[in-house]
Amino acid sequence: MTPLCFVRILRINHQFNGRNPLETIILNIPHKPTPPIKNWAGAPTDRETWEPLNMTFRKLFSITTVAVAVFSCNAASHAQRPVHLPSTGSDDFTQFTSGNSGVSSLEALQEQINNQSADITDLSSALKKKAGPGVSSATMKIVGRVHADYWGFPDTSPGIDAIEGGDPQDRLAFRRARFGVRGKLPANMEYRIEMEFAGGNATQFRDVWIGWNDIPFFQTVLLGNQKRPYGLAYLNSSRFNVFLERPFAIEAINQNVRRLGLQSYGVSKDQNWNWRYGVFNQRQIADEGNYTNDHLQLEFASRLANTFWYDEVSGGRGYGHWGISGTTAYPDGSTAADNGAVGPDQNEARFRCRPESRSASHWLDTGLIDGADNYQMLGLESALNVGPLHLAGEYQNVWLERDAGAGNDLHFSGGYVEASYFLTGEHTPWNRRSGTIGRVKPFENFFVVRTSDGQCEKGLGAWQVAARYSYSDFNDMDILGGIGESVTFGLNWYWTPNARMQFNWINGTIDNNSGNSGNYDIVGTRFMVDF
Amino acid sequence: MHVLRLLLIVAMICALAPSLPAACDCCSSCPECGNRTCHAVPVTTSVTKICYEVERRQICIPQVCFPWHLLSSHSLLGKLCGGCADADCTSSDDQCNNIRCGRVITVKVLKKVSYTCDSCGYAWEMDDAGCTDADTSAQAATLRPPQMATVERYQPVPGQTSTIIFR
Repeated sequence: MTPLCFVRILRINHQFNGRNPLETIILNIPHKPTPPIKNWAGAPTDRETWEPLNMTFRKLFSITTVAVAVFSCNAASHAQRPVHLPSTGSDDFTQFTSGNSGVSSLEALQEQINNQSADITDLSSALKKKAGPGVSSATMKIVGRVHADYWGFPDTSPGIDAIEGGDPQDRLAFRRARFGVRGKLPANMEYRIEMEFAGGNATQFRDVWIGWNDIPFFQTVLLGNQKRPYGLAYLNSSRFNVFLERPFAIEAINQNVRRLGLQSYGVSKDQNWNWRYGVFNQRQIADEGNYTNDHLQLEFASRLANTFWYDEVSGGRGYGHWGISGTTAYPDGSTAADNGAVGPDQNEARFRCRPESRSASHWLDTGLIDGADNYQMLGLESALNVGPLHLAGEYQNVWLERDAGAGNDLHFSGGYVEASYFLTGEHTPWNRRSGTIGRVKPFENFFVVRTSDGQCEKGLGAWQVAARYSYSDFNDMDILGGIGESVTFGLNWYWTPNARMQFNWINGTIDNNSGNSGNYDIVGTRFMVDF
Repeated sequence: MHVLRLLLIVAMICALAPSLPAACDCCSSCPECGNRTCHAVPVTTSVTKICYEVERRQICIPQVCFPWHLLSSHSLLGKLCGGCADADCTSSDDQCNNIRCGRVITVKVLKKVSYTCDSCGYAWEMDDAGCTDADTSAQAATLRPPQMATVERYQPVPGQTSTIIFR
């Protein structure tokens, strides 16, 4: 380094009030946010994975910049020849580091800094008017979904009418109208609150939890109202599900899915394995907000999932998955006679579901199983995807043990297989961290516009056809919940990654639900967006 | 006693009188040339509008690569399934490249384009018809009636009818 160059750097230092101008330049380099890694629930996490890389990169860049600047000074003092650095998008930066521009370059740089300061000030004042978290160190993201449904019952037999309590009526309804927030809390906590407004005056909550990330051994731990880990179909988000409603068995065994509990979520480093397990209260409290009973009706539930094949080459257009899930639950087994002592309908040993659509009553329903002491559920699941073709299936069993004198032990079971195919070539994405399907992104969004040259242009969207066979048996011994069997044909039209329309036609039978049997045809249409 | 109260009230009124505004006091000092008018001045403004463009873009749809496509021909499964030849596996046997070609399709991408165009509007300017500068400069500045509306120059909003804002 020549004395001239050294003096120049000292002068530059003086002009920047002691701050190293190179440091200033480095600070002004547009800092691209590090790509977030999604945790089990799709939220960014694992800062320590990217932050060290980011810091290392910045340090290396700083050292390189200093070295190049020194070299630039030397070169300038000897040959007065500018050194061209890789452009950062700022001409001022290149001029400054070339070592020739001197004060004029610094003035330009100072002007740039002043402009950026003004921009930051404007941005800060603008942000003050925006919605944000109440705690400055917290983050908040607004989420929501709107599902608007039409359901029609063109053909039902008298037995179905008896189960429904009359001729099933067509309905227009919001299936889901959810709005909520989620975000991060210092230092490794997160939260989520999501409300369901589709019930009108009967507003309920859905995901309401607080969580901790990066916990040794347990990884992510959530406390609150969250999904029980019963198999694939219910863990798939309603935003991404292939069919409008979930199959008989999945809905009946895991009715309304969310319970108050403490659950750990983990994933292996290679993302081939993921698991979740926790302890839950069996009562759905989304409407009541609390659970009051000396018998806590706890259960322990878990799921282990393996992505045994994931085609990295094609970006996940091919994958294979299997999983096993189970629970052991202890309902209070109370009877109608006990209601005065423990409260009405507190016995959580009940399995029921609607006919894979929206109806007034549950067409498969075991009723409260008196004397239920405990039950175990075991489920097996699998999924395979090859390009636009997606196959999935599950089978779940419930073994229920009753108190002495209350009746024999019971066994219920059910499952489904489904296939879907994208006519437009897309594929059903797979989330290896959670072992669930992901968001479909059409190759071409749906649109109809008139362009500036007067042409009417159209975008096709993504089109998917699907079929599902579903079967469930909730009849055993004295319990006549019914045997359901159905075939569903679906047509999904994805407008954008966040909006789609679904159509389902369901043909099914219900056998011996408390003596009532019949068959039915149901059509359903859903318009949905999420954000 | 009544006289004393009366005098007291009169005294209080007299004391407060200077601080109260004299009713219609300004009327006497209204400028004779106060009949101001406004006139419209045509102005040209720029309006931002949105239009759409559709861009054709070619995208690649990769073929699914099954695990046996990545196996070396050294392995038994690789031999059975037509795994890579050695010549293709110079760097790593297990990472050899026997990947099938993808498919290219052309899709439409909708683009929103914003542009500006001129729009005719009007600005309203105030003038004092019939007054000389000398008349208005002194009187209008100091003797403006308290109830008199002040007129603010209105910047027309594109697409809206121009109006005068009174304060």
